[in-house]
Amino acid sequence: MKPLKISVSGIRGIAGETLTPEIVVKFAQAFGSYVESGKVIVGRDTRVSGDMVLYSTMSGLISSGCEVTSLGIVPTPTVQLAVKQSNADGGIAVTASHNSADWNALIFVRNDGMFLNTYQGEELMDIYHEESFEKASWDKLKKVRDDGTAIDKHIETVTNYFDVEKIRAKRFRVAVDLCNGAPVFMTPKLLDLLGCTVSTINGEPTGIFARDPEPSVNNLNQLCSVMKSGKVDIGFAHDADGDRLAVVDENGVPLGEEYTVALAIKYWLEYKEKGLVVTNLSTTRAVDDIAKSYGVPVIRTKVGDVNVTETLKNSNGVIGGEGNGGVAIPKIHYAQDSFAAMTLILQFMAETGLKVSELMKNLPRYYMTKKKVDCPPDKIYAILDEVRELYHNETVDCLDGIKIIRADEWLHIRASGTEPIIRFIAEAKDQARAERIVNDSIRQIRKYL
Amino acid sequence: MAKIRTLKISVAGVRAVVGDTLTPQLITRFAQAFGTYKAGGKIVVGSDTRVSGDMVKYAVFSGLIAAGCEVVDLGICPVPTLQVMVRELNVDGGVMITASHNPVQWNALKFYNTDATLLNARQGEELLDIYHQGEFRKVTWHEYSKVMTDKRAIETHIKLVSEFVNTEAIRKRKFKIAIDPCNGAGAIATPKLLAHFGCEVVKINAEPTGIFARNPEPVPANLTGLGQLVKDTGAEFGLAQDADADRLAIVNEYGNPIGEEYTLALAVDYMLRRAPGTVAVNLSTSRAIDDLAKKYGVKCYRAKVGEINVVETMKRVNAVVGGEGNGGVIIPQINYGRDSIAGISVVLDYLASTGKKISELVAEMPQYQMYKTKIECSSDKIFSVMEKLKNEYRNADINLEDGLKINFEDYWVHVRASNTEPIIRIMGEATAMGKAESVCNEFREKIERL
Repeated sequence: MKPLKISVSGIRGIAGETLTPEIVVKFAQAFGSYVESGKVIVGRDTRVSGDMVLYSTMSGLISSGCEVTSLGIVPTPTVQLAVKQSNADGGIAVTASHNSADWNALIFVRNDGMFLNTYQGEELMDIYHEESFEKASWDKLKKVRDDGTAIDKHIETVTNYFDVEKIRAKRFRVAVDLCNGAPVFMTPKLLDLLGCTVSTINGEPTGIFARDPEPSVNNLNQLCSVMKSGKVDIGFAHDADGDRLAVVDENGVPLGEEYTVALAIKYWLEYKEKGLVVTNLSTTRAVDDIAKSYGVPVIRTKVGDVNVTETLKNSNGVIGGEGNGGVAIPKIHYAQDSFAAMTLILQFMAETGLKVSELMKNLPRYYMTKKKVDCPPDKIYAILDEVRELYHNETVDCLDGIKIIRADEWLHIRASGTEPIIRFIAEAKDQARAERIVNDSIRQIRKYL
Repeated sequence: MAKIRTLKISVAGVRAVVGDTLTPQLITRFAQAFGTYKAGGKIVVGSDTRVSGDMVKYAVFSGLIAAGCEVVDLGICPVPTLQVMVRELNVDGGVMITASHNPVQWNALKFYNTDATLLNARQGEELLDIYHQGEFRKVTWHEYSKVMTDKRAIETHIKLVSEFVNTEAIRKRKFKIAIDPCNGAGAIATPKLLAHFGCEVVKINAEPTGIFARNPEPVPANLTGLGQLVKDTGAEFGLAQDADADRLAIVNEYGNPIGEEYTLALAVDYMLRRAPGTVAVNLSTSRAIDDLAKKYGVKCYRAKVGEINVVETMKRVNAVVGGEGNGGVIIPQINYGRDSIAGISVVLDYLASTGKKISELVAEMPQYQMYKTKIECSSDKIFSVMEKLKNEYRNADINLEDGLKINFEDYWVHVRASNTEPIIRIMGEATAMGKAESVCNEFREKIERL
């Protein structure tokens, strides 16, 4: 099995194996051609392979006549915001987001700051395969411009939408797990501005992740134990590129990354705007319950950042996100942004005077189990067909893989967009039941593998 | 007639036209091939000022890192400065990004060994084999290194030449010098060097923009601006470099170019005066060098055209000085490569120690006139044209080591295919310019008929 994923959501591979300078250069040339030699903003997370990938990215972009601005090591939402604010024609974030440290990837951003959607991704792929790249003559080649202000601008943009003074007055004590990733250069600055006292773990920008970068409950042991040992009001954990956020309460109990978006939606509908909510098929039902209590509709999309943000834009949604810890606030930008989410949650606490555990108590409670099973890429779709057959008597939604919907529980089985795995996600009223739904399903499907 | 190609992949490296054949894939593959050839190791990278330099450099960095190399970025620097740094930093090799004297739309990679010499033909073949096989060394991600930057390259080079010549004597003369570094790497290094030697400098084409205000080849036809500057400012002489500052041409106090051949002649005379020793030059270089060698009672060896061929011959015969008549001075005690910074330093020392002017020094040299011309010829024709010519002169006093060199009693003609462009070069030398020119034109017409 080749660990290289070339798909409409970009190119992702293992640095030093499948992700070679030639492939990266060609993708950068394809993107440079796609944006018609326009202005492109690039940034990267802290991964050790970041330089190698970024250099070939810049070379490919320059050769296709693009004017490149390099933001250095910045979170992915910072790249997205910079593209939008500087009227650039596109952006490239060099990051494999929540994938492990050996992976890297190019994530393509279009001129409105969102990722390429499926159709745009296909266009890019066509250019890549045709190799019909723009080739600028020597006098059309432009110098790379370095811009070290992107993080400050991002912080300013986010905090403009919240009441900084109110948050500062609370002098929150915050513990953060920065995952040795791009948030290292941003979170301490933001929290300082918000008047917080910060204790940091995994705060060195080494790109050698001290924990699995996915901010799921299993990966937050370090953060939870730090919280238990001292008086801290809240704990936050990022993934490596700062789009996702997980929250730990004042007792050191992780809320589960599903509840980041649930908290954010609750706050926004209560204090900011009442309107349409957008989330993906795999996200907790708590979102529907919260929306219902404010009398606003919910649209469920396929899994994937751009599916949520694009629907938010097209349907005039006011807030949305994904249960993996990604929160998107259209007023700020159409991107999943852990920094916006972090500020929002602190504001929620300041506004209500409640502790995190108390805020949680007011939310509908569900329990989720997420598992993944390795599957050769050439078998994934055949297996999903078998799965569809297996559940044909139940209420299903086949927008993205297969989601089996029952009265007070559901199960979602889908192929990952980024790795050769099948994901199983179940939600129920208690943890044991959710666990059993997933395990039963995996047992049934194993025989096809 | 077949298309004139804009991509040259040869043992001398890779050279191509930006926006056409010079793609980032090509460059990154060559860098990976070199990283594979070196099996990782520490590599210095430098570039001239060409606008395409960054694009090429980033592709080189990426390829070298992927192959497990540690990269040291020297920034913009002359080719000989990169060579100095290969030895100074004790690294495993070097990559220089420059198309030397080629026009602005070209760029190229030159590859250097751990002893700072260019890859020779056999080593170049090995690199090409790796490139063509496409099986490059890949290290795992945690073995990737960060690119390091070293800004001391030019300083280090200046220190080296300064210790070789009599710096105090040069400083005392307070030379007023006009320079034309061709908007190239010399635009940064040469003013620093001359400031070190206490000179007053007037400049033309001295912004390191990479947009060459004149053709980069420092031949007399391209030095009218410098000549005028010398006249207008009363400078004592003028110095001109190509884009990567390996070649040096000199304009005398009257604003007249002395001819690049005489750059080498002056340097050879200076070195042999210091201490006689063996000399090696290429087949196209002036007979003045043979005469000088005879004067000092030393041997002069001839090598194929191409820096590495001269360098290898110099190493073999233990030469104390050598180079190429195109303005490429090689002084092994400074650098085993053509080095305009070394060339400038020894010329200044020569002037300082003799108290003479450039025109006076040149007048003391053996007097020859050389005429050079070139004719475009597609690669499919070059071989047959050369074969027919060789056949025609098979009974004359000829040398076939590199194209065809025909030695006549009081003149010679050298006809050869360029290593870097789809052209045939014709050079002739005689005691009078009229004779040299007519001989070259005679061969030019002959080739045109073929």
